[in-house]
Amino acid sequence: MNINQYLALLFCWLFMLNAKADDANSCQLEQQHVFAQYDINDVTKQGNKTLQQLNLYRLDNQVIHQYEHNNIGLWWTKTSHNRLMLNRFFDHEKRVIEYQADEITGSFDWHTKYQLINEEFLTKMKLVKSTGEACNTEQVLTYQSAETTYQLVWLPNLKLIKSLKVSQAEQIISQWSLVKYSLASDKAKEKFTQLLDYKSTDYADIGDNENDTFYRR
Amino acid sequence: MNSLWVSVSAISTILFSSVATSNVLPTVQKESQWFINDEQAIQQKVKQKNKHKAKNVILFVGDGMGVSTLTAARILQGQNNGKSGEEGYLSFEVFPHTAQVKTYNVDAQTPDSAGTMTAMMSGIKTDIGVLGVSEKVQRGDCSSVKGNEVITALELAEIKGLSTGIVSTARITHATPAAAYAKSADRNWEDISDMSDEAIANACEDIASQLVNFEGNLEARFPGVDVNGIEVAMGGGRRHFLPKDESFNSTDAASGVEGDRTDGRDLTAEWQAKYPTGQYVIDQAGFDALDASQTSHVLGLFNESHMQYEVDRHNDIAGEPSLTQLTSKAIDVLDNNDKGFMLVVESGRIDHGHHAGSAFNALTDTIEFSKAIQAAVDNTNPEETLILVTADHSHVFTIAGYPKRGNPILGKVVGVGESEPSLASDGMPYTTLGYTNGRGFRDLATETNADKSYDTDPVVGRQDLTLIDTNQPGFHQEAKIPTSSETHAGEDVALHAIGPGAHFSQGVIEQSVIFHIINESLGLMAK
Repeated sequence: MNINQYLALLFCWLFMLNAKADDANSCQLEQQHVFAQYDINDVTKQGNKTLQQLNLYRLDNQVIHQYEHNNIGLWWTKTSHNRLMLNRFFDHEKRVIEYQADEITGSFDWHTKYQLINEEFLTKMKLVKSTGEACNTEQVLTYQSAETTYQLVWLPNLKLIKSLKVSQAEQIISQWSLVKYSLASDKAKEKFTQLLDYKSTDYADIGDNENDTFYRR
Repeated sequence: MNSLWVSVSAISTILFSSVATSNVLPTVQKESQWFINDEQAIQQKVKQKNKHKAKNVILFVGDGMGVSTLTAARILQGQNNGKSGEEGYLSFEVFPHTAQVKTYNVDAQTPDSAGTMTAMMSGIKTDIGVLGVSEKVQRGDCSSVKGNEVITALELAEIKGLSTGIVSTARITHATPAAAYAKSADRNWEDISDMSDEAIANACEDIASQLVNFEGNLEARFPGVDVNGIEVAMGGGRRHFLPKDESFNSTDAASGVEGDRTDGRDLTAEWQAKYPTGQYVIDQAGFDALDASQTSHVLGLFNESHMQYEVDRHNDIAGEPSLTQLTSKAIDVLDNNDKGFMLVVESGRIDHGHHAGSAFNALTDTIEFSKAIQAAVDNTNPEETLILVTADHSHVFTIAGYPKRGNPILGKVVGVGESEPSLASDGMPYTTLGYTNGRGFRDLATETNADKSYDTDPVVGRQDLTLIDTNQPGFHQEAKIPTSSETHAGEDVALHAIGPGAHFSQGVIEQSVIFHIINESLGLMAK
């Protein structure tokens, strides 16, 4: 291999490395505007099964959790002062109740809102295997506590759960499945824009609006 | 001859009755400290000289500060100072004149702040939820406002050439402060985004805009009148003055987008353009830097919504002044005018503490309110300043059971001669303080923000408090009836008064009489 061949190979290798980094960076950007839908199957101690559908919306420093069957949604914002602010919205009534931002800077668990799983817990999990590249990277992770087994398929570059199985005594008590998702999602942008048009009320003013039938409930 | 005889007779009667009384009274009675103190209190009233005309008036309104709140706050204040508590007084409770005030609105047995403050400021009762307009206005109907606007004591003071000020720990556009300066068919029209399409189409002006345009609006209503605007407006509510655009966020912003205005107007900039020598401040540092003697106008917006509860102020992002500091500074600015001033001061968060079911927050804000009033007493001349202290309405807040003297007011009832909590017929202890309705029990330990209770469902009915420290700031009292928020109550409130014209405060009065007391003392309608 002459010097030119060597340099060409090095260039190709650097190019591929750079392309991979670009892919990862692109995922990092795209995962900030996400719509994702989950099926959540829970089994109670009595053996009763429930199925819920959870919609997750992300737009930069804002996150929405909304269950399909529920009129009420939770809308979280990480503020510029690194505080967590909660709004509750009510789609049927097109109303928002604003709560005060948490007072202690950075004392909240943003990851649980943003990616539905605690970051510290993720780092405790054991990596079983990793497949795919860039946005398609999938990791299989497990964690075993005294009574509970967790099996997670994690999309690290999208910061999304693909599936999560929680078992106790070899019985599945909760199972999460990613039904669909879209990156750089217009649906997420539309949802947040829609909420800005809802009539909002400060939590502390509920008591001064008792003649408003919405607040009587 | 007759008159001399009458005089001699009168003197002998007084001497005889005095001697007879002192002889009749047993030593245990006449040497009792209760007896001595109370006799001195009466002698002070005998010596009172009433003046009618005041140079300045300060109206203090404790939002939701019913009589049970006064009693409980007085006890808590005393207990915080190591005393039993019951024997003490809040600063304004030593004022020489009082009245009992009927608070109902024209259409409501239990009132709200909009109707009640309109009564105090204008001399007429009106409907619940409307500001600065008569009962002929249909709430929420902009088209019904025209011709039904009232003039307030603050506006009359402005026309008379006095300096004027409004201070509140709530949003400065909230019902109580707004009733001093705004005309609105709905108290919730704090900025244009809160208004209906009908209201915008009919050119009703939102409340924040009315504050900034106060001078021009008043001059337009009364051609020929020349006023110089509200000199001091300080409180919360920055969101109603800023566009709904992140680029307008202040350094104190708690929300992602601080402003709510959908018309793109930045009212803080408009205010500054109207008053180039005025000072717009948003935090403690800006407030501290104000030189009152050199300040013509102040707009202080210290929070995007309501200001913090007094005990929670340390958690504010950029720092907020206390109500005592706000009151003192306001007086220092307003008394630059030799003609005098009128100042309205609201402690807005007593009401919010109660709505959240937190006696701790309601009472600690009442104690701060009492300190603010003492600061006003200390910084004004009693010969020329009428100070009125009242509430707009009460709350369903009770002091119950038979606790012994000195029992912690936030604690569980411990009976006379007992050391363990009394048990109710369900076998569980209970607190002295409680609410008839609301979100009910919470055990939030050391949490000093009452509003943290709003993001969980109501828990009403009896709870086992055996192992719970109810004296902690985060304890919320039990409630009987579940409601989205604890409610106002319909009983009368107190009015306390000192200074020229204070003696007009007596008997049981309609709330609208308070306007007439102010008017009589300042001679607002003399011309």
